[in-house]
Amino acid sequence: MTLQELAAAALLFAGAFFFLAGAIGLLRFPDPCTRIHALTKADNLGLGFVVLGLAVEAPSVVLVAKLGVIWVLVLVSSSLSSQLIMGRAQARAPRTDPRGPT
Amino acid sequence: MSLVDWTLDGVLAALLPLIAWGVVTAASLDKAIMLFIVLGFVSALAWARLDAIDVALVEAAVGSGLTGALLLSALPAIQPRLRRPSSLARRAGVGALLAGITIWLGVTTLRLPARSGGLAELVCENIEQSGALHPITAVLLDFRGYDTLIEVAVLLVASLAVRAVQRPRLRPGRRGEPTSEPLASFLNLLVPASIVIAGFLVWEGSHAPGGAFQAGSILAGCGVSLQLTGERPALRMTLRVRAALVLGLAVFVALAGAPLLRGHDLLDYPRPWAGPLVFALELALTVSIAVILVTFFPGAPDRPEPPARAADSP
Repeated sequence: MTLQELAAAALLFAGAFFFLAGAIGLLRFPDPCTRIHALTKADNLGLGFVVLGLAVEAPSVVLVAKLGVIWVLVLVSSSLSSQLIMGRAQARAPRTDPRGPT
Repeated sequence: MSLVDWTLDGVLAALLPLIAWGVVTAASLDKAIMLFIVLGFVSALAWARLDAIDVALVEAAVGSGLTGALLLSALPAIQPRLRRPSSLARRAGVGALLAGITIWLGVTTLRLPARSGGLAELVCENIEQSGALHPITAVLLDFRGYDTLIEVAVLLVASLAVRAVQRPRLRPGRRGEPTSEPLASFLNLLVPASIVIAGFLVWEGSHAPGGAFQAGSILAGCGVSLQLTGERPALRMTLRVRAALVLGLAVFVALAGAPLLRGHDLLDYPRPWAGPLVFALELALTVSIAVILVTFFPGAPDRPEPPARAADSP
């Protein structure tokens, strides 16, 4: 195993860890706020690490750029959808979270 | 095949029937629709694993994305009617019918010759004669152009049928809720990006996976999100929209029929110009497919309504 492969494997495992943690969080956390937090964390960090891991092994710069674009697109859409879901959740049940905006 | 490939394919193969089961047995209609969207994405992944990138693109864009949005926008209208579960006999009948079809398809698949190249070789040998460099585009627009021609006509007819049965309350011109700040800025980013992606897919279609159907459905997705978010009212049937609806079919019929005038066969594009002609056709088809798909959406969803409709359900 070369250093490159090792680095890629480590990064991919880190990504998988965040996805797993995000999935567990989504299932176990009690209210929409914390669940959204778990989900977006998986999207940002999990996918970020997976993309980094794949980029280390990528055969060309173009492919690295494509992976980067994918990551940015997912970031944008996940931050937007979390915004929308939370907006709707708060409109429905304003007092779900005691620490939320009053 | 390595262990990783086996695991990946095994997980996909196990997930598909599981999610499908979830769709059928979901407790509520909105859960079923959500799972159906997930099913579309997983089957798109499966198609991609089978190296059928074109099918995967269409499955993700149309089968999952657009159909999911269509189902979600239809949800408020159909939910009140589905409170009562259908009778056991009816469910058993539908189940038996579907099981029969599945078994029939399975048996047919198993009886196919194990390894036949199909028509792939023939297509690759004769690809020079078509206007395209990518086998799938060559088949869709040249070798089997007849099929595609009729498909485009079917899409147009479907769009007209949708307009005919649309309820007056859903007629175009209504606007939905005001868009939230982040959603509006996301759309500012999404719309130009999808136009670029669609253009790229049409251009790629001549030599790589892509083409009019994929590009059209991405453009349509863009139009649908503009409508659902209330950024733009539903399409009005202006002269321009009507022209866009028929553009693809008109260009296709003209291109298909023109060779007849010179004593050639239908769809026998003249050799030296086949490439540019097929590309022009793809462009026209992209516009029409996008507009046709957008017309399937009745505009921004109605907001608080269930009480009024509750009279229908006993």
